[in-house]
Amino acid sequence: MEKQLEHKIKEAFQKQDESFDYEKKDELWNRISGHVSRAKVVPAFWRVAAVILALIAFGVAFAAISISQSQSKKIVEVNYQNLKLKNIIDSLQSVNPEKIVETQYIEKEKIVYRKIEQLSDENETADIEIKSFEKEILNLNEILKNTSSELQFTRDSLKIAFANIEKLMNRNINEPDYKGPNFKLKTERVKDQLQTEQMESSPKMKVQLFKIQDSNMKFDMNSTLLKK
Amino acid sequence: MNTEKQIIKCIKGDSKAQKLLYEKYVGLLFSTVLRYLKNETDAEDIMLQAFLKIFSSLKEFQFINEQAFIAWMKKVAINEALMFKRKEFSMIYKLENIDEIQDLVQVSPEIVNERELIELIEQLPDGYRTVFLLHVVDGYSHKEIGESLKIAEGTSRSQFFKARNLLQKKLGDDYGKAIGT
Repeated sequence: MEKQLEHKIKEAFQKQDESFDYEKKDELWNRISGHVSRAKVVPAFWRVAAVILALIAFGVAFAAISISQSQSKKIVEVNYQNLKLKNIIDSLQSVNPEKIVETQYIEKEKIVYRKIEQLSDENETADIEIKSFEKEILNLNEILKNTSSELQFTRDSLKIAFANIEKLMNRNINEPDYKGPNFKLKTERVKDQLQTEQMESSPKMKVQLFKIQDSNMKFDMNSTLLKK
Repeated sequence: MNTEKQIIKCIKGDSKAQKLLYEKYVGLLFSTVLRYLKNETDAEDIMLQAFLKIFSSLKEFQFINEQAFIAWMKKVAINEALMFKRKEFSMIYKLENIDEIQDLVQVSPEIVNERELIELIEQLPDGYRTVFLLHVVDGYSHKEIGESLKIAEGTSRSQFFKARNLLQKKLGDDYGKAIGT
């Protein structure tokens, strides 16, 4: 019974659907066709966009290839440069490094604190004794020095005296019999410079000795020349 | 024109063929949509969406016969209508809980006028009516109804039985009195 009812309901609706006449179907079609045409435009737009995108992609690919080629060229160049630099580094590494010797003089450190350990009493007395001995030695040294200087002086004076005695003795022995007039030549003053040069004997400076017949006549040259 | 050839032309984008196809089936589809929506303006919007979807999905459809083609187009249109009312339905199936109808009067379908039967169904609450129409008129299983309306299969089933009971009550009220039961 329920099934029959359901079947009848189904049939009723099917009949209604089949017999239904929609009045505004032209208006609805206009809306649908508008949407369909717009939907057709969209793929056309996408086709154009796809073409443009393809062109862009081609351009990008071409650019990428050219860039990669240039990059590879650059890489080769850089590798060459790198090799060159490596060679330079190797050559520089093989060179012996220059040795620089630096001498520094450092001032001696100043003594800030000095610890002197106290000696024991025995050491102290020994030290005093040593010091007194040292003083004594110093005094004796002084005396010795004075004595030796006195001795030296005495020896010098004795030498002079002895030389004088010797001179006197030599004069008495070597003195000739000549009894002519005694005269002495004044010492000639010459400069050291002139002494070094070879001097020609001046005729004016020649001294001639003449024997005087008259024994009474005394010719004292020193008295004339030196105004004695 | 043969329907299959017409479909092929539509797939190629022939606007004349599309118009012919539209004119041939617009009444049927509009009637189908309208029994779910009850509002002509909403039904027109749904029809627009449905036909756009039909034209764009034609290349995916494998033509067997015209009945299958009509069933496919109906399904597309009904799905669009259900999608439109899905939010509304989710609320309806939570709130509609009519008390169990007892003392049903059994009425013979033979004595019921088709026009009056349709009017009785249109008087049913929205949730009941949709499930009842989907199951009885358009041949949806409860599983398909559940998937289409995003409700549980059990809910669809219970809604259907409640709709049938309510309909029988209404029939009993109307025809029981008339035949003096």
